[in-house]
Amino acid sequence: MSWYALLFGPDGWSGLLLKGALVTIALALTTVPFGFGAGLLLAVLKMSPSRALRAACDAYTTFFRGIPDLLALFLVYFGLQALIDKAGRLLGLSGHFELSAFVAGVIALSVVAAAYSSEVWIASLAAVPPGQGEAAKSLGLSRPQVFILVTLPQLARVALPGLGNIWMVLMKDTSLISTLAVTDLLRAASEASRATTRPLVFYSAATALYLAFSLVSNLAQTWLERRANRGYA
Amino acid sequence: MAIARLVSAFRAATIMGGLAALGLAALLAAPAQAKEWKTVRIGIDATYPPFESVNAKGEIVGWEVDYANELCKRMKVTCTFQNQDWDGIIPALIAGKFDMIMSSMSITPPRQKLVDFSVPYYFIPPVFVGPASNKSNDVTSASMKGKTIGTQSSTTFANYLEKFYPGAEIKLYPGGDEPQIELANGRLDYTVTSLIVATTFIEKSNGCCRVVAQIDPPLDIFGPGTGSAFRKEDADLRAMFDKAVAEMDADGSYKALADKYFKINIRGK
Repeated sequence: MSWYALLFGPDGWSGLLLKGALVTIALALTTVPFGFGAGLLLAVLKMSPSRALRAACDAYTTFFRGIPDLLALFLVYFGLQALIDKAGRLLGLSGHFELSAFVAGVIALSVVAAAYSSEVWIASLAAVPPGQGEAAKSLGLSRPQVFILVTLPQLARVALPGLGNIWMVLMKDTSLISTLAVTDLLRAASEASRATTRPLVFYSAATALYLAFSLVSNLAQTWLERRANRGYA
Repeated sequence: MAIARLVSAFRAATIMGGLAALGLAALLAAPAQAKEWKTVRIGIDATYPPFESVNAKGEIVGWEVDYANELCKRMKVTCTFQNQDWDGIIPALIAGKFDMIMSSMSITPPRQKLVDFSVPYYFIPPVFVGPASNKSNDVTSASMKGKTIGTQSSTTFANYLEKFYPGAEIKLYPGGDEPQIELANGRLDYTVTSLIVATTFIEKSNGCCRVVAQIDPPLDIFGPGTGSAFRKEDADLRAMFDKAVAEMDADGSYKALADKYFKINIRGK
């Protein structure tokens, strides 16, 4: 069968590949607020006067930047499930709460993204002059207003390139979830290639889709950076 | 100052999280009762055509799927199928991700320590497969010394190779169809798999390979045949399954379904 028929013919696999692509995008997008948000929190905590808190945060980032992301995924998927089961037993429950592989993927990728992005956030927090916050407060802005209207835009300008980099890695790391029987783009391509014994057709199609995502991400990042750099030479 | 606020917010969040967990616990707490089976989730490793594979729409199809659907009709339950990688299929059953495994799993003593099996519902001999260019039928351990033989990991085939072919280089693959694909690519000298899986692949690949020899399966490695695996506490589901198997044998529907797919008799004993 020609590659066109394999993909778009009546028995074509393009539907499955697109469904997988949606799972990949969903996983990556769901991870962003949790991962980058937790990273920002981690960065702020690392500036805490408490030595114990700083040490704990450093230990966290060292751990999750030091192990393979796949291992982190397995630790979350199997470890968290075991913890949930144990907690359930300790509380005397007979129901069974199942941690879906997608949720485990979100948690694991967020945990790793938090570790990596905290370093980016720390650098960007240092780049915002403290005078900005003081001036904003003296104008009568509340704490959240100061953060959202004054600090965050200046933070974003410095943090965007680094965060954009982490986003690209995150998008590719979503393929790790294929090891947990979740049909993401990579797993869809591998299932199709195994059923038809035509790996190159489907892996090329998956490549094209991943590159399309990267292209869109790049465009979005350029637009965001241009916006963040308004008013700067 | 901001840090102190954050830390106290963190504490509040922890307390709220704990309360939420207790709330969730209250929801999950249910009195233990005898299970009435309305829906049965079946775990399958869909990399084993023609028994189970994934089609272009992402559905799991194959003889075992059709057989399972027929049995579920007779058991008066709704069956759903979940794709699960072979290596983790028994732990997943025990962890409760599904209620039974029906994935061409051989009944063997080590597995019986973890799960309980139904009556065997098919028996197909294992075979050696080689490239079409290999005309020899010699599969003695001596002649296989130094050859690369591939098969699926955690299978009776793998156990057999490891026990009887210590001189060969054994390569294990996560999927059931991968060894044959690698054989067709020329990366392996032989593979070991089920006769039907081999002939199906050879047909689909337009004769890339041939069945070199049939293996006389030792009982302690291969067991009496293929069965469905259940958790040890689900004896009632297992009994329902066995009853449905017997019914299908008796009224000839097993033979009708098998004849639709296969040219040889797979029922075994």
